[in-house]
Amino acid sequence: MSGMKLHPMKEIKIIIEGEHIHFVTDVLDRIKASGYTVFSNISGKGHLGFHVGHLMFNDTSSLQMILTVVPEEKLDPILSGLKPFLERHSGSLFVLDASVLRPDRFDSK
Amino acid sequence: MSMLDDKIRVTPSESQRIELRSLVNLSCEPISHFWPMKTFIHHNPLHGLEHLTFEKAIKEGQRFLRGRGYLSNSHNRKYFQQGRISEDSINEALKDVSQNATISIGEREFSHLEVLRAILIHGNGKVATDVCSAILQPSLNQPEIRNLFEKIHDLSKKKAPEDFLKGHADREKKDLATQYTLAEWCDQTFGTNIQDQINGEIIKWLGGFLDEGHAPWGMPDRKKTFYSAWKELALGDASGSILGIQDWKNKILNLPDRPEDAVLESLSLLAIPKDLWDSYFSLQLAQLSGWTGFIKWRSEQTDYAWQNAFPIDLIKYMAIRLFYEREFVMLACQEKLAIPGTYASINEYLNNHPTGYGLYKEYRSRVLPDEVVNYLNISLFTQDPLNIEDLDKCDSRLISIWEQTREKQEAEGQTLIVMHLAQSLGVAIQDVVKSAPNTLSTLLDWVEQFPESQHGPIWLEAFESSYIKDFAKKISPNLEKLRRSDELEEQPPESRPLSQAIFCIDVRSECFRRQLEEIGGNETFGFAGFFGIPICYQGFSSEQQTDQCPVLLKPKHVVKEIPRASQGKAAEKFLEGQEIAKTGHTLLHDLKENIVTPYVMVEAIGWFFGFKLFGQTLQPKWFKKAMSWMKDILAIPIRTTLTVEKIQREEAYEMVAAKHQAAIYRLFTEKYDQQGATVPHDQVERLRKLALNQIPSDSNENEELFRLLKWNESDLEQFIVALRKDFNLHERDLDHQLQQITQTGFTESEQVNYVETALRLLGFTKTFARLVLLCAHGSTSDNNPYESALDCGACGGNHGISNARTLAVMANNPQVRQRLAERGITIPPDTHFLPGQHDTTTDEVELYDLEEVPATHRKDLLRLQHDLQEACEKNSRERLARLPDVPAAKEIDEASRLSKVRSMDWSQVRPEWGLSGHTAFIMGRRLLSQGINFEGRTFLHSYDHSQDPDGKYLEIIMTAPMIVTNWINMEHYFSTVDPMVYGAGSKVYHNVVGNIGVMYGSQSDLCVGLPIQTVFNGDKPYHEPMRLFAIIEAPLERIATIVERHEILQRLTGNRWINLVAIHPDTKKLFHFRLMKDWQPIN
Repeated sequence: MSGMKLHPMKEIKIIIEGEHIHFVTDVLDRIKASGYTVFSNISGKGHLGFHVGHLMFNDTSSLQMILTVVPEEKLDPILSGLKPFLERHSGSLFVLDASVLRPDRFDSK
Repeated sequence: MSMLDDKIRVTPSESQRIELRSLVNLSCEPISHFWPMKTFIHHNPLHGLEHLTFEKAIKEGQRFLRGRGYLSNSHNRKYFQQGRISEDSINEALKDVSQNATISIGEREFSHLEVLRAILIHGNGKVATDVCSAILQPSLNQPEIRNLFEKIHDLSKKKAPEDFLKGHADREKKDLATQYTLAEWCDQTFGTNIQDQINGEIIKWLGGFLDEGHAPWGMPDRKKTFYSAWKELALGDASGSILGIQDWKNKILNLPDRPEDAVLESLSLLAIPKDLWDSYFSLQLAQLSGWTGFIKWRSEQTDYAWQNAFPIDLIKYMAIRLFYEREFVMLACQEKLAIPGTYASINEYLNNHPTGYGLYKEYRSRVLPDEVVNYLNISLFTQDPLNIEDLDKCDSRLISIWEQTREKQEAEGQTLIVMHLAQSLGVAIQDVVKSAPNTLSTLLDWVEQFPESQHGPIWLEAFESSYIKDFAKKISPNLEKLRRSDELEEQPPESRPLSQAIFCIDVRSECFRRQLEEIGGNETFGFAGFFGIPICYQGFSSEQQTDQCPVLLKPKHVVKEIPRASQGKAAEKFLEGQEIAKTGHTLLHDLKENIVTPYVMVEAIGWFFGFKLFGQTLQPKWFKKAMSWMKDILAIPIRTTLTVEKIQREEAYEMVAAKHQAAIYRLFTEKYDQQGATVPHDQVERLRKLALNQIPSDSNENEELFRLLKWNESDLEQFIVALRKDFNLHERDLDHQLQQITQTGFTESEQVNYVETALRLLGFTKTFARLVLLCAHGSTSDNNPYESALDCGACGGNHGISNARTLAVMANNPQVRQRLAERGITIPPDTHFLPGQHDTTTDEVELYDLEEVPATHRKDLLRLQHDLQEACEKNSRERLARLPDVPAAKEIDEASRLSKVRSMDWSQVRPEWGLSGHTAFIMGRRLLSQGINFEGRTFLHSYDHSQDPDGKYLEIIMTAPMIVTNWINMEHYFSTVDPMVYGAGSKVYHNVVGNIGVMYGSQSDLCVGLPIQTVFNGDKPYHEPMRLFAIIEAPLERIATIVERHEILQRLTGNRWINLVAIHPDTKKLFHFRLMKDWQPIN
């Protein structure tokens, strides 16, 4: 064992069309997620088939993934904000257990 | 009192607030973004509804925005009369809606389709109920018409009676909060003007808050956000009380601090059921769709200075809007019906008093017959509050009279319809009367089932079908030539053209390219006007950066315009002159807008404005020349270049170091004159490092400095403080400058990729001429808030020259060419790429970076300049002939003069037609379209399917330029079919507001779309509204595979927002893409 103390957090991954990226980042900003990472132009296969990412001149129609790590108490408000969106649009959402070394970096008030 | 008691007010949880916020944001999807006018973006006003079919989206647009989605039937009938719509196309369009049924009238038999066609072409003859009797009465003397009327009257008597009166309440219960807001219901029912009152208040606050430097006095407290600033200022605003809201101040004070909580409070007071919130928000946001579209756009800009300084979003807007609504609705419902102004109480009222309410509505619509009105006490309808119980108890005899009158009116209306239809079908009335008993009722049913409101989609289908058939005919000679050329076993050797030019795909390039090619020796290509390079550009001396790419993209590189190395001194003078000009301009603007100056300064400076007024009006050309002369005196044009090459960090560091060292020498000479200038370079470098904290201050090491300048420790300290303070010589600034320098430009690999993509997309990979012109475009007009709508859409509504210059630098770079050759594209050493810009209003082409043209190309350049001038004159003549108010130019140079004057005329509402009139986007080889006069109606993108076997480049064209042209097309379509809702109305009434858009008159919604002068010629549409035909020369399977891969393409084609047509590369036949992989041949 390394002896490092890890702190439990929740990791949220959301995959949506680039056009709606602001919708998701707005929810994360409002709930004060301390940060997030955006993966642009991603490819993959889902229940609707294979999605190709290389749209050279079009960011809005390509798929993007937003990844954030937040303390557990912020999970419910974030999901409440995303629920109406996912009821209307296609997209994927994953919530996973994560551990971090420095919890203060992930817990902005 | 519409206030929640503090005791019953429950503070919502964070989850509830964020869910509400999301719901409001999603409810704004039917409303499209509104970009500030300085970068007008053509877009689909129903973009948020593209997941629906075109027809369904139009119905939704009608519901939320009250917009019409099709051209009026009268305009379509004119197209039919002119032969623009053929009868065959109408038959085809009617196939899907017609049944396999016939009727016999006299000796003739008519199919359902024939009857529908007659209704479509001649109208259904329906007239307003209250005038039917007056129109029919004179004809009733004729026995056959009287017989017809009686027969129809008998038919209506046989029908089961409907409860018309109660129908009002039933309909409105269903429509309340789904089709209209409570405020709109009040306006429709009582004749109040609540909507106008709410909109008036909202526009007042929005106009002040969203102002971007236009107003001389800014709205106070804007930093506090829209909701908080409004709360603060509304306390002192008397208009709420004047409009009748009691206890105004307390109500404002009692509003929650959070806008989300305020929205929830208002929803609770209005008692809107939760399952209707979504639709209710959409109805609210659609009330001022221009302003909300702008708020939506601005709230999504994370790096927009105005938004960061004065935040606003949809929830803040909704909080204020719902507050006004709840108060005004409460007032109206109390006054008119003595009930609370809530969804629940209105519903209950309609439920309990359907008969009385029906009578009241009929009375207000002025359709209650005199027979009934005369028997009723009129005051029952006019008193406040309405005495509904008395109306409910209305005598049943009266109701029966009313029903009989209605039946008669209906029969009269139907008689007129049948008379009109008989004439349209060419049958005698007697034959209709004598026909089988069910013929008449069938005929009337068919008319009823095909109301004029449903004719729009049929006309559109027929119009499009007629267009594409004509188009197929028009290009058939070229298809034949192409077939012959492709069938040749051995292709003739390709010869080098005298010059080649790459233009934007824009429809205005089509005419210019044709004219240039017809001069001879010039080959042309079409490419998206940003030349495939998404840059953020900053012009020299400009404080602002522009995104030079379609809005689908975020710029990936920064490019700056800088003076050429030899222009250092000239650049300084230029900046000084510009500063003077800017100060003068600001001064005059401030004087003009200041509240005091009109009273005291008119005599002193009024003449200056008179000079401008008379000059611009009477002698625009002369005035423009005078202005250019003044500009040249103040700011002599200088030669510039662009920062295309990526600067490595080491080099950037050296550049900043040199600047710092110069600053140190300056401070030395200021303080010590000549003695300072003699300080050796190593000591200056040492001082620089000390200021930047890069080395520690060591007394021993400093001795040399102390000796040279007779300093002590304190002198050195003071000098370093001065360097940091006055010359920004500190660590933070060093990092900032390094970042500024290194973020600009492109690496060599990036340059290679961009040039290769551009050339391969065009199929332009061999036979390069000695000169290749990269021709961007822009427009010039005066006093035209819509100027950017005439600029390059692919460059985000800007001039495209910076992109052309950038690509030219890359393509001329020998290292880039060497790597391109390794990838199979060999550009000869004597090929020079030259940037230029086509002014689409004057047709002049200005060439840039001429100092880069090799001396060996002098004659090539001269010849190209001559050809461009000739094409310019010919194109002006062709374009001017299409403008309605221009006398035919007799001499060719007369046309150039006229178009120049037009571009300077500040009273000109139509400097050029712009993109109006477009119908198709052709993606294929030039041979397909070469030599055909498309009258500036087609976008042209070069594409060679044989060079793109895996469809990679076609995919780029279909997912970007094709989408942008679809947006342009939809903007023009909707601005034409409803110029007041989806378009901006007449320019004559426009007032610029807040530097962001225009309002109609003194107060209105922000005008969306295009002005009527852009799409109409008088009362006739100049732009023929149809969905764009995207015509691709490529294998059908390749196109279908790309569509299948992209949801956006599936949406656009499957929901019929665009017509996709393929030209089969082997057979050269045209196919229309319908459902997935279902291609219908176009004959």
